[in-house]
Amino acid sequence: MTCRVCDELIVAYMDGESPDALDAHALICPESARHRADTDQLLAALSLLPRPEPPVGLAQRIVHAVRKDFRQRNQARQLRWMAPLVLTTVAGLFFTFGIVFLTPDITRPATPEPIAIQEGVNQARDEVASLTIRTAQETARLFPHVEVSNLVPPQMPEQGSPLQPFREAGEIVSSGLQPLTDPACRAMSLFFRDLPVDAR
Amino acid sequence: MSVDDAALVRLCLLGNPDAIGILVARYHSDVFGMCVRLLRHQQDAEDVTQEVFLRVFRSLERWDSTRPLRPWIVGIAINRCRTWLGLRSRRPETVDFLDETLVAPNVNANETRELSAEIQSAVQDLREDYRTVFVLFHEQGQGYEDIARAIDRPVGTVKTWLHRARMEILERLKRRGLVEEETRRPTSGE
Ligand SMILES: [Zn+2]
Repeated sequence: MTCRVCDELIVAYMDGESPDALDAHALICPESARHRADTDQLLAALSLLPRPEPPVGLAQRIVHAVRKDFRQRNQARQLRWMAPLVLTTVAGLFFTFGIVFLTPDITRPATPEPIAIQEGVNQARDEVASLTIRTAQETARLFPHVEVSNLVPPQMPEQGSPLQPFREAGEIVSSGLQPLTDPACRAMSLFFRDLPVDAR
Repeated sequence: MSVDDAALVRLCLLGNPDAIGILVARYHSDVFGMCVRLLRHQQDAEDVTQEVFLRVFRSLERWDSTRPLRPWIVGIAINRCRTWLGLRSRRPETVDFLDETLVAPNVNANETRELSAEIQSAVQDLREDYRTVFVLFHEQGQGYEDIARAIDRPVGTVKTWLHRARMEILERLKRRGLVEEETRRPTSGE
């Protein structure tokens, strides 16, 4: 369409306004006259354009879905309000039960961990002692003429304070090694004493 | 119309079941018509219509009661149709588009029946934005202002698109010989 006047008048006519202005313009504008006739045909054709009608039951299905959604959202909203309350209550209960049941009982005897450590230390001490004694005895057997009267198992003191077993273990290890070191020293001195004079 | 839209919406927000029913009954035909025209698929149109109303009721609190309700609802319908079309274009299966043409209630003669069918396919073949304004104006009788609100475009754009849509349909009907070509005089170029 090249005529601007016609353009506006056709739009107004299709919007339902009176065609008088368009008809007056069409008398002097052949293009507008042609468009006026086209528009009439189009309007007649458009009256045949059937409007899609919703199927029976669609409105009920929609209403049902909307109400269901409304209920669910209401429940979710209530849960959102209740959740902090429930959480606070649960946290409060945990706190209370925690104070009553989880506080350390100061009247109770020592916890089992120190006992386990002490037993382990005692066992290690016994092992080290028996090993050193056996080594010492074997060494002494190589030198039968050497007096090894001090090869006696060390006395195992009874358990006392928690630190005592460690101290005892240290003492026992050193005293356990003594039978080994003493015969070795004596064996060395005997060896040197029995050597021929010229070899010395 | 017994209850105006603003009062109806207030009742809906309170969860009044009757109000929900009235609002759906009032607008589901417009929404469904828009969906059929844009999606060209009966079942998709029903599904999207339901989805549109779920969205409408979920966001009813955000509706500005100083503005008309219908363009707001139709705007939601158009957006949902566009989203659906986007999703459908990515689906691997083919879609059976609406084949059967709807028949206008007072159409009897074969020629008129043919014209009715042709104008429907002409509308279906319009590009989406032209089709939207065409359907809103000619099928649903909405004014320019309301259409502009629904599609969120200026009134001038609505008028331009509507005019182009009409011209495309008219040209097609002429090509098929369904309107008289004699009215066209060889005076000036198109
Ligand atoms: Zn003119």
